[in-house]
Amino acid sequence: MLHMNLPERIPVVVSVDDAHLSKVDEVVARLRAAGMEVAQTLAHAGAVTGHVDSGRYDALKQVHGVSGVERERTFQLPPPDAKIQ
Amino acid sequence: MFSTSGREPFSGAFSSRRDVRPETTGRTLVLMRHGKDAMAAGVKALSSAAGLSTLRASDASNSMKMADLEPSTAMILDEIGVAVVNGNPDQIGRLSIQATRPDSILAVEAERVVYAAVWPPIGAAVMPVAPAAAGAPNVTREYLRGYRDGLDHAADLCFAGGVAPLEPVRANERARMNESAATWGLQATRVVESIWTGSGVKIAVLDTGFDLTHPDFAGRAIVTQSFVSGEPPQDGVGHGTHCIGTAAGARQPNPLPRYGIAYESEIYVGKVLNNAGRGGDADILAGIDWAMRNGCRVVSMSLGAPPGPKPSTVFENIARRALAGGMLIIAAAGNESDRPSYVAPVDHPANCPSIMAVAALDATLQVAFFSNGGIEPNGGQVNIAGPGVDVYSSWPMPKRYDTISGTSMATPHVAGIAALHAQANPGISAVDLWTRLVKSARPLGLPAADVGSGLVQAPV
Repeated sequence: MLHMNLPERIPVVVSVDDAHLSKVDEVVARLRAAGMEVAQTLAHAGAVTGHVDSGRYDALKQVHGVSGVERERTFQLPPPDAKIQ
Repeated sequence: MFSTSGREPFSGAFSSRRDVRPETTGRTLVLMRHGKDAMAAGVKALSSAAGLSTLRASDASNSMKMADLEPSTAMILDEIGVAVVNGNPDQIGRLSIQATRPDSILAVEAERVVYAAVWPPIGAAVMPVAPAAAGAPNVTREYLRGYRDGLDHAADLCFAGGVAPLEPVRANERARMNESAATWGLQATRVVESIWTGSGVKIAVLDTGFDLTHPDFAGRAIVTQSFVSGEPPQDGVGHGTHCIGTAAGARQPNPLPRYGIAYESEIYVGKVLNNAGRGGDADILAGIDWAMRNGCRVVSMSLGAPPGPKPSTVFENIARRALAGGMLIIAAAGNESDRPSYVAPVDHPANCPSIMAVAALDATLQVAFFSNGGIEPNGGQVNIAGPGVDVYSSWPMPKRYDTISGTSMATPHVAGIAALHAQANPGISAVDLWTRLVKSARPLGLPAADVGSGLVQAPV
């Protein structure tokens, strides 16, 4: 039986290094070329968010102009009637 | 605590760091050796050596009110072997000489004034405050000093041994606190005394949004933006409204008490958590980017996730950039701890070195049991602490107000106070603002891993 290992689609956040802060669009283009599905370009903060297949996650770190690539973390508040929030 | 070595009173009982002598009542305590014969000898010494009249507390006809004790009189407390003496210095001197030959009198000490270890002190006498803070509650400086010294003395006694530790004051002591005019947090941080309002300062709060119908915020400058797809900035949860209330609520809400700090600041509501209280890094970063673009000086983030082994490089890069550009990001240390048995590390993203991490204190200025600590050696420090237990603030209508706890509540205290400092120091850089907050914090004598430099203080 042929098992298909579908690549996991990872939500990622990427930071652009200081040298490329004024050229974020260039870095975004390279990230796309490396397989990233870009959702947001946050030019002021110098961050890019989106998704990438797990097999291409590490390659994003090699993109010129990138200072950090991380899997997106999620936050969950306690319910509104909790004593401690 | 009585010394039996005959050395001078107080020599071991108080921290040498403090120059202030403790308050005394004018009366003197005399410790006598226990045992029937020794007590009799002690009482004899009181009358013959010092010429004092003696009364026994066990005698029902004697008033137990020490304040009524006549001059040149000793009230004998037989059960504990102590006499309370109202004597002149010459009489006390003669008793002290007796103490050097301890067959009856063991020690002679001035009776100290102590204060109940409750915050704020019950029945504190009223002192007028500056007109600019009219409507603020009044607490005397002397009472605060006495409270602090009383606690120091009690702690020193415990460390010296031989005295059972006091029961910690519980959070339910809050029921006895005077929060009729302003919340305890605004008192403890000196916001109530501050002349500053946050005018001209933009504060961004990245959270669940805000109840834009809340009556206490009518007429306020509020800019909103939702980063949650399919949901407007209107708060469907409460958390965001509560945090914004603390950071920027009105000076005179109706009804009182006042619960907000920077009441003339411009509020930037960034909804980054949905109406189920859920969100992700991507929306947080979008909120930070938006705040930067709009010239916000302060960003308050009462949100956190369990950290990894080291802080996020992505968030650290963005936060460092924000700092350099004039924006201070302040985040909650997190609530995963269960002190004393378990202290969790500071949450992401507060664990970033360029993000100010805030711990929570209760009204007795102890670390809240849930407050995370700086236990990771690589980053993840607590920088400062704020009021975070039983914090009263705004809530979505119709409930209007609620009282909850969390490092989420401590964080907007720091953010609101940061806005006051920013107003008081026009043109101050975000880095210098950080330094100012940390340096002006009130030291608590608690580990920096738990509270950073101490309790945040408003500029007065």
